[in-house]
Amino acid sequence: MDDLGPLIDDYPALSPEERADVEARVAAAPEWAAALAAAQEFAALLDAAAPRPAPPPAGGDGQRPDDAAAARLRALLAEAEDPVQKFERLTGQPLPDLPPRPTPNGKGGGRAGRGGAAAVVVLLALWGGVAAQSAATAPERARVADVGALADVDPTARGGVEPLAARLDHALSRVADARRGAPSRPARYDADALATAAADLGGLVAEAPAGSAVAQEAGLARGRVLLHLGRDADAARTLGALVRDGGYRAPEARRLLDWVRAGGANERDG
Amino acid sequence: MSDISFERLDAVAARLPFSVDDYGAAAAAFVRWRAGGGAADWEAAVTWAYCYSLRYLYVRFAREPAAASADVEAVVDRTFMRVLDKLDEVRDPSKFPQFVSVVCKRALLTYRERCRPTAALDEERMAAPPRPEYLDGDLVRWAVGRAVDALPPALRVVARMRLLDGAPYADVARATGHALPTVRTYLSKAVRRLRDDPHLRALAFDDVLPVGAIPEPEGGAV
Repeated sequence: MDDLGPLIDDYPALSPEERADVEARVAAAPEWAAALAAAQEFAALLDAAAPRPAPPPAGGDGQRPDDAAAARLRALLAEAEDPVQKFERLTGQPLPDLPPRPTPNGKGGGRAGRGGAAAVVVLLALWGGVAAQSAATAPERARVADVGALADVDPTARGGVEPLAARLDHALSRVADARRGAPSRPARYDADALATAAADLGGLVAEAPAGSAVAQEAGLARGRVLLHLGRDADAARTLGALVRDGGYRAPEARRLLDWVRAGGANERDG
Repeated sequence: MSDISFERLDAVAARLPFSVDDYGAAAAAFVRWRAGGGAADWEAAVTWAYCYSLRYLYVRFAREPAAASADVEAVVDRTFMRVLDKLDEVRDPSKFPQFVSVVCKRALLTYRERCRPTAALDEERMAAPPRPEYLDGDLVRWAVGRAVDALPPALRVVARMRLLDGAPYADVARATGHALPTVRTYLSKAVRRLRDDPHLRALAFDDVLPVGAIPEPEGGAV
């Protein structure tokens, strides 16, 4: 199987039949599986650059698959929140009134709805300035704690069950709701609201079966929130318990704990 | 599906000083802002990321008949906020479009992971072949086109015809006057060079952010 390396290197350039042949040979030589997986990822990318094939013919109902997707897209867009309102809700800022798009004759294009109110311009300039500044000085503590990541925790993943999963979901929602403003970074959070969420999460850690998915997710979330709040001793206790339990969240807890014990933010924030 | 008007979203995109499909302009605005540019660059980059994220996710969710519109909206919201939160962690600002696309792709993958039966094994997930529909064909064509343009001339012609025009090997051989084995050798060399292109690696291997900045979609926190 020594000749598989060059073949795998060439995989993106091979025909479908040749690719299938390589895949069959790798199936019998699993030590090459990781290399093949990487080659497949890259082949998928190059394949996506090729011209799109003609749409498939209509089925028995006279509808092509693309027609169904188009209808679904229209329905999704019809039910979606107004994009301007969504932008403003998510960012806490009005939609920017950007410079007009250049036209072929080099002049600014006319555009309906350009208000240009001085107050809005000032507000947006302030927004951009704050954002630019915060990118340069974003406190390391906020980046390490990454409370924003908690919005992606799925309480039912890895076997989280009701009603504890529902309580975890509620506590995590409290963390998300504690966010104030928006695109200035790091995200700002209401400290009191975060403290309340941390207390909820602590209750869950105590009540959920030790080592369960809910206990681990709640523990890690509590550790992140406490870290964000600067309550390092409490965070270390919570994260240390996760590390000792050795569950699937132990490695992440260990990373955060190491940061706390290294004096972390002490003063790299500063 | 490109003929579908995004209607209200188009009204937002019209505020941009460039087209949503102009990835080079989006990257340039972000690069300028990171280099100390003003509010206009920041606003252009963020507004572009917003338009791109919505378009990417709505188009792909249109092929997810089981997805409730409330779920779609939640994913869209979360994805855009994730983009905003991580903007200052983009290591190479010139890969800004790739970064936004990777965040969107991860969000979609995560959603699909959660919709899988809970009995699905991690091993099954790992064995799943790559899903080209996660990739944004327009962005990929832009990135591949740039990388192909940087190849030596002999490789460039073959790579462009084969990868971007989808021409059969025989047609490439006829057009270039090369023997078929030569064409295949040139394409092989071109592919190996493209694999080292950092802008393509960013899209193929999500190589845009520090490890762990956007966790892998494998259940749990993602």
